[in-house]
Amino acid sequence: MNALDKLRDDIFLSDNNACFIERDRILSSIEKLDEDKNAPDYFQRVFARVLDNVSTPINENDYFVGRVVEGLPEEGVSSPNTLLLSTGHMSFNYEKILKIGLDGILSEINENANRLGDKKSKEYADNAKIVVDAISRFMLRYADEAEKYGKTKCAAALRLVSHKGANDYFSALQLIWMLHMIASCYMGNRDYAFGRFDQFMYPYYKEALDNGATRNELTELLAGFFVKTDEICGRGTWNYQPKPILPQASKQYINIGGENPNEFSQVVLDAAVLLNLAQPQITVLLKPEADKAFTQKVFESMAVVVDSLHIYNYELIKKALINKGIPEDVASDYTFSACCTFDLNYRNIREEYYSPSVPLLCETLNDREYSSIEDILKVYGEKFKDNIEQAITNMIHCRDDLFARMAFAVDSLFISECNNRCRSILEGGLEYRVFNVFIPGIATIGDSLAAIDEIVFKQKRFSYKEFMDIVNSNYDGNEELRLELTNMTKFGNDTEYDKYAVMAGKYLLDAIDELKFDSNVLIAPGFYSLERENSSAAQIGATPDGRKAGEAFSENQSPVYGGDKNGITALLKSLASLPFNRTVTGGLNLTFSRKIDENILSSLVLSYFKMGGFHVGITVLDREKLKDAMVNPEKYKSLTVRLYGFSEYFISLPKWQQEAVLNRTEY
Amino acid sequence: MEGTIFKIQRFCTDDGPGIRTTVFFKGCPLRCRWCHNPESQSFKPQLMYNGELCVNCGRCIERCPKGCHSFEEFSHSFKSENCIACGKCIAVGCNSLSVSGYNISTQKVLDEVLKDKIFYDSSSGGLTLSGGEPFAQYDFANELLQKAKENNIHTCVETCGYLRDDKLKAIIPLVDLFLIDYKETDSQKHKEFTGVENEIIIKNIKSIDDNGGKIVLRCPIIPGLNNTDFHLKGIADLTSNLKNIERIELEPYHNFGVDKYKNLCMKYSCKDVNVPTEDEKQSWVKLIKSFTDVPVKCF
Repeated sequence: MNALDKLRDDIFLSDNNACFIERDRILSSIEKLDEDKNAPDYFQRVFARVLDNVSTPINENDYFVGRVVEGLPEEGVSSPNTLLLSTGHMSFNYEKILKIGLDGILSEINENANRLGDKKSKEYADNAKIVVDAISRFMLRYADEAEKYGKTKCAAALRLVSHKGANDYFSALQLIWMLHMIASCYMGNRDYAFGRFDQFMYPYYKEALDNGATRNELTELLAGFFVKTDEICGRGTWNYQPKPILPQASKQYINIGGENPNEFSQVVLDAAVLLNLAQPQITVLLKPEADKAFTQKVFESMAVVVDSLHIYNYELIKKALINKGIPEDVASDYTFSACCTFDLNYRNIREEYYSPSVPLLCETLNDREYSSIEDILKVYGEKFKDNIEQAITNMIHCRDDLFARMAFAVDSLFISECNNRCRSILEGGLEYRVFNVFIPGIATIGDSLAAIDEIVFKQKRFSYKEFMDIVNSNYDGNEELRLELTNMTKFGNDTEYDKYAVMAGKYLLDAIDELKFDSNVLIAPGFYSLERENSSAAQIGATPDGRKAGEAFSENQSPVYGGDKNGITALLKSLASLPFNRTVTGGLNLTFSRKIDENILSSLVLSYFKMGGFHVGITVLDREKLKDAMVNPEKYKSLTVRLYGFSEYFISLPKWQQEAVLNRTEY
Repeated sequence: MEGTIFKIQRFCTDDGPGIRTTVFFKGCPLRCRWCHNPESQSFKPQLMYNGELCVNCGRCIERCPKGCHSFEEFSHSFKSENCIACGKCIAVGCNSLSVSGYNISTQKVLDEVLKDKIFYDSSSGGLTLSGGEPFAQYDFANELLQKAKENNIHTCVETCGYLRDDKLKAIIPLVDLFLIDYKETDSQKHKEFTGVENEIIIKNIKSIDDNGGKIVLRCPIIPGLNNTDFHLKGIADLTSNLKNIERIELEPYHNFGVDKYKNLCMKYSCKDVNVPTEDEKQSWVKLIKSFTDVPVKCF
């Protein structure tokens, strides 16, 4: 068994109830000291004390060093100590970090602080030094430890990058891992992402090849880097069995592709296939014609790793951004971090709002009586607009000074314009405020409008009020009508009934386009539910599509469960008719009942993107295997399925979610 | 022109190359013992009743004009003798009853087929006629294939090969790939298993080949019936002399059709046949390969 296999096995031997115990113990002891939290450098000193006191464990099989001691939390402790806290959900500017190193970042900050000359900037620079020095000391401690294990290459790399930028492929990966691990495991939040990994790593890869390394060697090293993302995540799920403290249920996102895929983009895919674990999640920003060999490799890889690789339509999103006024160079450089969450790479942090699109529809339908679908949509659009405006305005103006200072501890040094402005991420350092505005339940919304149009406006079988009274009574005494509505053709069958979801989507996106905010604010809309279709369903009354009160509504961009009956090509055609060209986020999961040939996969996705499709993630389900896994979980430790915007270990899911996976339409 | 079909299925990936739409014709001149699509045998629409999905609501009893539905010992009983497949018995929300088979024009079929043109073009896929036996509704199949070719759609036909040779020759130019069955080498056994002898079929396979038609030879292998060395060698022998054969596809017996027989009130003589193991399947492939260089694929 080689080193990678041993590291992979260790993932499944790890205790999922264990967590990064040292962080919490150290923070708890600092809390007891009763120091002045208002001191301008308080949180930076806290951070430094954490890093100075945590252990520096190493596994003999490690390709790169950087691990965290795990242990069972004290009784009753189920959430991370918040003395250090961050927003998480961001991508560091690794291109810059690799080039100029920690010393370079400090110099840059000092120059800017001197130029700006104000007290706040001076404080920023002083605090930056505390943080950088702590990171450097930590890396040097790790270098000494690596030496003891005979890992001289790691030691040399760490001694270099403890101050300077990376000088080769190996030191680049070692530096990225150290910063990523520190952020993910000690800062107090999750979902730090790797940005456009293939772009900023390519020069180091190329140089390594030029110096005689083979592609296979570099691929294995990269797999050895990737396995570390699984080490810090364990097998926890994000909403059910998260690790009890950090990193809870972090997902690890690597973005590749875009305008210019390169040879290293393919190496990323090879390494993901070689490792074949749930992390990292490979996000492919696909422009099919940019590099045909890369495109082919994407589908070859997807056929193997299946649910931990997903694909976005790169050009469609880029054009939507340009239409929203984002300059082309920035629009070309977007990323996805977290689950289907859109970012302008390192220029912003993740901010998001799940709009109550389904409850707002119910509210609209009961506001008054209507005589046409357009009438309904006009009122619905206005209501939606007001809701979004208020929510985003609140988020923009929400200010928490203590949190802002806390969140500065590390993150600000590595993202956006913070260092140029000498202001932290929550104090004006961000170039953009990007608000992901999700619209859950688009199929349920469309199907509800279709039902009203058919039964009330066209067939005139009930007056509007009579029909809504029946719906609001939860179809009490009208089961036959409810069954008729449930059996009506739904969104997702490539029929004329798709037009209702399309119309609703357009009205809702029109409402968003009418909103006016400062020019650095980007509203990033998308059809996406995460798990709102289940978790918020209990509060939502019956809908006109035959759905009873409390039942789940449609997931992400998908039709209602069991609603698509004409096969996957029909489904993709229906979906492609949604106004995706005006959205920049969202996700679609397709479920196959057996392994799909890569050429078929490629044809499906490329045709879908040609028609205007947005995103595809897939799961291959063996229904019998999943049922058995529910009864005999110990036999299926490594079985993963795709959920929302990421893959999860099936046996770690709650029963309702396992059943939801089994309920999906298979192709 | 209209024909009778029982299903148009999009996104088929096992009925020829690429992504395909398969049109299932109703009616077949053969009665293969192992047939897993019993609803395809009769040329007429048929009512199918799935007892497992029945909630005993009794609404069908009130609606049926022919008295085919009744309650016997508190559970639903369906007798097909008098059924005219009018579908009147199927109430809203009923999941246990359905009518298999309907008439449709070639244009309507084509409209449905054209919906996935973009997927055919990107996967080298197209239209497949299946069934039942497509050539048993010859004129309908012919017109449909012509329309497909006019629209630059690749065509496959899954056929048992049992039709007049002049009709077959006339239609060869319209078919890009024949997926033609070869079920038993011994003619008398062939008759025993399918109801007809195999001479016409073998002649037609050779005729397709002689006239430039591309062939995939599909061979259902049913343990206890035709998994004999004689027949497996016969498959190899037949293909060794064909110029335009792409591959042999072995279709081992499966029991997916068992419930359909029950739903149609039909008897299934192969319901107790054991599904072959992977080892058995591989032994068949090995034997055929020892006699021919034609590629062999086993499902």
